[in-house]
Amino acid sequence: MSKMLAPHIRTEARTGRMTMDVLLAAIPLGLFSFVNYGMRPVFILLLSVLAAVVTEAFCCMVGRRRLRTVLDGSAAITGLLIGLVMSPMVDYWVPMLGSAFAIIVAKAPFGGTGRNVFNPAAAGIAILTYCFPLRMFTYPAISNVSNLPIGMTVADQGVITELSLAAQLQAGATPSITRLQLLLGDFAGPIGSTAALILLAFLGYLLVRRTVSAWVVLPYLCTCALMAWLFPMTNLNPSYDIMAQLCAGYVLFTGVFLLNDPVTAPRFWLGRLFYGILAGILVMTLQRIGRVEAGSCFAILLVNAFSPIVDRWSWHFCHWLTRKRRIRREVKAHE
Amino acid sequence: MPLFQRGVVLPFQKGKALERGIESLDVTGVRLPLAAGDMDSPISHLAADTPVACGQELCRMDDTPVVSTVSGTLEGTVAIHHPLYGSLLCADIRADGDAEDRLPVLPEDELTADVILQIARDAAIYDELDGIPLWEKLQQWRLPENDLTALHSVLVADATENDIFGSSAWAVVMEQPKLAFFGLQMAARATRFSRYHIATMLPKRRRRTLKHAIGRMNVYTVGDEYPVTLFADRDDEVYRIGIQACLALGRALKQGLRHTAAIVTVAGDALPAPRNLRVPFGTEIGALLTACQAKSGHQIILGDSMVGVTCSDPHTPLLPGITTVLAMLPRPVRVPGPCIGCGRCAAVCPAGLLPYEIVRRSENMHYERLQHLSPGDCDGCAACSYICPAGRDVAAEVLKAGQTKGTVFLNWGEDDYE
Repeated sequence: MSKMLAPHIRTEARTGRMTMDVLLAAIPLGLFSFVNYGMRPVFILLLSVLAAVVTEAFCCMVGRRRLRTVLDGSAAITGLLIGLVMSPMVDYWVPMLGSAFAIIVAKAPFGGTGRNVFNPAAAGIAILTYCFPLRMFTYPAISNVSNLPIGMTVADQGVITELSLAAQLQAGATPSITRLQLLLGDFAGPIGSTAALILLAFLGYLLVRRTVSAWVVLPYLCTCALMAWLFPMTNLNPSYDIMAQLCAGYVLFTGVFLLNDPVTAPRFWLGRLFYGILAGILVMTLQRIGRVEAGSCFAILLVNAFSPIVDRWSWHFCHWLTRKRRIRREVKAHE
Repeated sequence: MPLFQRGVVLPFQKGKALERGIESLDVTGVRLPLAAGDMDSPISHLAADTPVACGQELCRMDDTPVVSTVSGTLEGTVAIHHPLYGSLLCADIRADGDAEDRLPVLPEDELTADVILQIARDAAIYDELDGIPLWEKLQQWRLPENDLTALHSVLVADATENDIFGSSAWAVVMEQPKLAFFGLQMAARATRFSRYHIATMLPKRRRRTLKHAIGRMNVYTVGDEYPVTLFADRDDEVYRIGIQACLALGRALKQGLRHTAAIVTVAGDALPAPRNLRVPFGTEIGALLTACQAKSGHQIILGDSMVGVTCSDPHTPLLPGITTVLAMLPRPVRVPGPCIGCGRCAAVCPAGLLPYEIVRRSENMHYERLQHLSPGDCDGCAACSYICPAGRDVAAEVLKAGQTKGTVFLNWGEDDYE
């Protein structure tokens, strides 16, 4: 009979369940974009996920790791997140290229799941933003389109495009979107990062399931709101301005998905708090002064680099604070 | 459900065993340890076929008497290997008599600190938390007379039993709270501590009954997080003894009975009918499981489900220090996945360590930087292994890292990379 190691019971939580929780986001956000734009965004999401999974399998074979690791779903999450920030009228190869880049460059060389330093999805989005800003940030006007053509490319097919909210804010224009439209995501923008209510509801789901930690996302959102309040981008009502800035670009999307990737975020609660605050400051700064309208991915990559050191230093700080008391206890115990 | 949760909350399954109360089990024979270590020669004065009475002193082991836990006939001695206590020389006693040897009962005002310690030693009372004789612990903690540290020293009778299945301590405080509390009072008198209480995590209604029986101030309720924290005030120095040891001390002082029986929870997912049994020390574990109709193919675990030790031999005797015997069905083998950095191990660690970082550094052989993370503070409660969603044995790694000091000899050739 084989020996069983303690503990003899384990919690119900599994890595697979955590990734499945995040993958569930595809359902509400996919439905939302299907209603708005027809089948095209759904195909974009599917192809992006497919590209990520196939690339991961390829990398596993090259790196002689077990092919089973593909099934843990982390590659699918990377693909899904890249697909979600695409414009609905982007060519199909763009998200596929981004997914492949994310896996091949930002994940596999570091040793695969759990060892990557930078968030692969953020890296994929960053490279696409850098290489194809025009394709990434050309959005169809939501009010005039109900079904985008499904063909390989939608350019020159008479689709009316519109400036996104982030671009309008950055250009100093006064957006004509109502508060309700902001919440419902009824404005031009990426597939999955406009629907504020869906994103917030999903964030609540992830928090209740304990898949993400409140220590990261709440400080992040508070910092973003504070930054938006301190540096308004329109001269409208401050509350509307804060809402518009939070709904623009990938700000909310970053908070729900990119920031909460457990591999690249700190693990200690105080480190998570600092990380969330730092990410909020950087995201809002890049949103304001960046060369592109949505620079969250660069902000995430930057804070990822700081994440291990923030984690360790915050722990050492806490440890140092409690050290005195511990030493006193130990001395007492020895007496 | 709090947003920022700390600690593990285990899903308790104690109800079934608690409802039945404490039941006694008749045994046919016991196997009692006479001496520790590898010993060839049997102890001379113990000849075979000698009749012994229940409570009769057989020999002494480190100044603590070894008493027979049943009344019957001595059959001989045998050397065994116990998974918790290593090599032991044991005596086999067949239970076929009814003679009983009792201690004299003294009136309460004659019970001074020295007398109580003497009786605790003569009655062979063992603390069930760690299997150490109670008198040794009390004597070590004992304060000089009129010492001011007595105000900050709290003697806690630990009846928390923070395990999924274990409920023997709960059963004890539910069935004999007054006697157990009397034992605790006397133990506090022996150590000269001015403060003492019973720590429980009973559900509300049962807690109220307990408070009614022994007084509201003497019950301290701990939260249901694993592992329990017994500190009410951070300046207090907490000394833990088991509730069964308190009960045994109470019985020895009031009734003259020696500590011959343990109250054991027999449970586990391979047992349809978990029970709390009062059995003499030295009973075979297999007999306990048979009495509870264990399903075949189970694995025996001595101790609770978090830090218990597996035991392959059903003839292993039940010794002091074991309050839970589990029969678990083998769980499916899971290949541990990579650490995804959820940080739950750090959130639940009662010592405030960073288990994931300790594991990472020891995997990457950064031994020289390992000691900054003070892995030696680990208590081995295994909460991190329990909570890990990747199914890794975090606690084992941390304990291993805690034992590495300075120079580390690498095991070349032992490549455990998958």
